[in-house]
Amino acid sequence: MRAVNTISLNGNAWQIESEGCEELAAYLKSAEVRLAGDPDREEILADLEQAIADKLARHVSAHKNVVSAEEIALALKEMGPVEAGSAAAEPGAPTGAATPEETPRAQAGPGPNGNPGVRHLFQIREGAMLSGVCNGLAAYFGIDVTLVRVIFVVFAVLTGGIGAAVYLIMMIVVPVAVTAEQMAAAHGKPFNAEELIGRPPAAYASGRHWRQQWRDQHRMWRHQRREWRRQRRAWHAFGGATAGPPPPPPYGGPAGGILHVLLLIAFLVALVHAAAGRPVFGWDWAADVPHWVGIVAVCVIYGTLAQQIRVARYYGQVGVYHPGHALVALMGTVVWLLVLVCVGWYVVHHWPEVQDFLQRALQALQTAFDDKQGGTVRT
Amino acid sequence: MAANEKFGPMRKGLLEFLILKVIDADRVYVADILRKLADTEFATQEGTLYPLLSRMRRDGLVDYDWKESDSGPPRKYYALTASGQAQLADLVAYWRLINKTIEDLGA
Repeated sequence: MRAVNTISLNGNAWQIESEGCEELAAYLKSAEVRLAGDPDREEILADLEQAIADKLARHVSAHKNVVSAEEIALALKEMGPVEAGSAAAEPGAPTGAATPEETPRAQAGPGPNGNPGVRHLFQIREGAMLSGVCNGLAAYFGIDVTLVRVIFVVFAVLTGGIGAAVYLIMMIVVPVAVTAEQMAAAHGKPFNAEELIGRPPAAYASGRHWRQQWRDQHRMWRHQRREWRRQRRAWHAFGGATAGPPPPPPYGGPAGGILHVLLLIAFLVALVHAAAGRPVFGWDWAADVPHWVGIVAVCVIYGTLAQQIRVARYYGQVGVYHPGHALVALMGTVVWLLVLVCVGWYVVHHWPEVQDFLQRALQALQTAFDDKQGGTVRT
Repeated sequence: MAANEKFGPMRKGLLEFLILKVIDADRVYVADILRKLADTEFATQEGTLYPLLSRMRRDGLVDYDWKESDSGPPRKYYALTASGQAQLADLVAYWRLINKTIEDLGA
């Protein structure tokens, strides 16, 4: 579903998708700017509108009365950039006409608002994960949005929720960029017609690309969940209908779920203790290892264990139908847990060596970092 | 500067000449002009043509009549004025002269 606007082109009404409308308005606005000073400006603009309308007429019929954004983009591409035809506009130059391939877009002077913009912080909804705060910050600082998101998440985790609160406050306080002008201010770009013409399709394309990926991912997850539910139902129906020997209960099932929840609780408790620098499960690590190593270790251990339980539960359900798969998965899980236990045992019993290794690794990192910094300063 | 970079300004200067020729050959509206030029190296677009035609009309080289069309709104059909025809004749003569000069200089 897409929003549709009705606009008038040279006296006739057209229904056009909103995004196409913006692009069209930007094109006509730029034409107006370029033709400033042309005595026949109004007439040329009317001609241009009519020419666009003629192109759009190809795309509508009795059964399709809305022009899509893509069709607008195509029509405007066919129209080509508007060139001032008046010799007076470029004194001394040959006629202002040009073939399309050598028409530099930036040739015309800056528009009425052509002063290079002052940046303002806005929320940008286009391509946003939540509310567009990170998106706006990325535009404001001119860096990649993924980087901003990662920094925000790390900040939120390290500060134990203060980061999330900051996000919420910014969501309420920071204005949302709605108009094209605000959008330009968010990026610190000059708001003039040439900029505008280039921007809507580009922003649209990247936003759509991102949304498409997000939708695909969701579709995959939904599909997976549905598959699991179907199998569970099939197993129940099968168990209820047969009087013969009941199928073996999946070793995941409810037990797996309870195990998972218990592990999550243990993880949260350990994380809180680790973050506060208190002993975790009676082990006073804070004296021996740096603070962050404890937090990272807790997260890694939880992630590994949880992954094993997830795999076990999944194959527990599949196992009813594919005992072979389940057996392989079971072996994998058991081996993994054994490896974990061995590593844990080694760490506990050879603590001085592990500590020594950690310290040396840290030192190596530090040296590498210092070298790099030194190099940057020198050049 | 590579040779093909020098073609741009040449085409730019010649486009008006070409449009005079197209209009002289037949009564045309803008879509006809675009179509006739589309397959040549002078392929052009509405965004360029409308402002240019408007200036040529102001210079008194071309003029237009409104004509009803079978499909859609009335169209502007362009024709050369007397001074447009005179200028086209001058341009054609000058073009021949240039051609002859180039040929005569050999190579």
